[in-house]
Amino acid sequence: MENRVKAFREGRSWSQGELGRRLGVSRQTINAVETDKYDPSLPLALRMAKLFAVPVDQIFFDHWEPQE
Amino acid sequence: MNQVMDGPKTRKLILQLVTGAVVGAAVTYFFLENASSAADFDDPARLTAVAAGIIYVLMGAIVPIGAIVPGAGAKFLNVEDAAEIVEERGKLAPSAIVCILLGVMLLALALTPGGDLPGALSRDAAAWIAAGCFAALVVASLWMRGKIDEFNRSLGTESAALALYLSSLLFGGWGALAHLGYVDWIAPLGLLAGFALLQLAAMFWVVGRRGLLMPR
Repeated sequence: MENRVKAFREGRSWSQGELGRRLGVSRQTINAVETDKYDPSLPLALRMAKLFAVPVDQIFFDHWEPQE
Repeated sequence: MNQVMDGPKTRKLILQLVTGAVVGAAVTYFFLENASSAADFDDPARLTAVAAGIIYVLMGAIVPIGAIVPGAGAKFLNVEDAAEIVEERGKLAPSAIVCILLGVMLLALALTPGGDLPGALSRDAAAWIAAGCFAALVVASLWMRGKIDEFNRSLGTESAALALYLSSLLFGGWGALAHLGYVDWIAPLGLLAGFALLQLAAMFWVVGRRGLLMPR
């Protein structure tokens, strides 16, 4: 799964540590999400969406399409 | 995910690997030199327990050093900068304590009498140390649960599952062969050390597979 967490974070001029603090996770976790090493849990993804005030699918997306 | 490392990151990785190998080899050598007259390290189970114990103690010891001196710690711990060590101190402390306790427990058990040698520790002393370490391990593990976030919990769960599969494969297969008389069953200390090493191997595999061993 790909994401635009870094773009949204930088858009607010937050460091990884600052975003982690606002979300209640470590800087290491934010770094792992931004570098596609870790897909966050649904609750964390929802918190990110709420924090950035956008729908989840604007932050996280993949290229899967349903088969007919 | 393929990553191309720049010069400083490559140097940091090489420094970490070389320092770890040199310190580990030196500590093991001095330990065996000083303890070999008292305990039987020709016994593979004791030797495995010593190796595992030293690895855990060194892993646990290097973290507080880095936490006390974050500037230096940022050079050998896999963090982005010294500030991250300061942020993570609350999480680093219990994990370092868990590593040290596990290592001390294995070393104490390896130093008991065996064969013709008297051992560096009596069985009673080793039993008290092991029991104390085990009780403290339980407390430290519970303390750590409240310090970690979902990413660390996910890594822990994944590595614990892998360690269980590896343990089942190794000790299950060995048990079957021992039952059939093809091999001797493992000494209890070897079993303990084996579990500790497999847990470590599983953690490194899980962390490495995600590219988290690469310097950031």
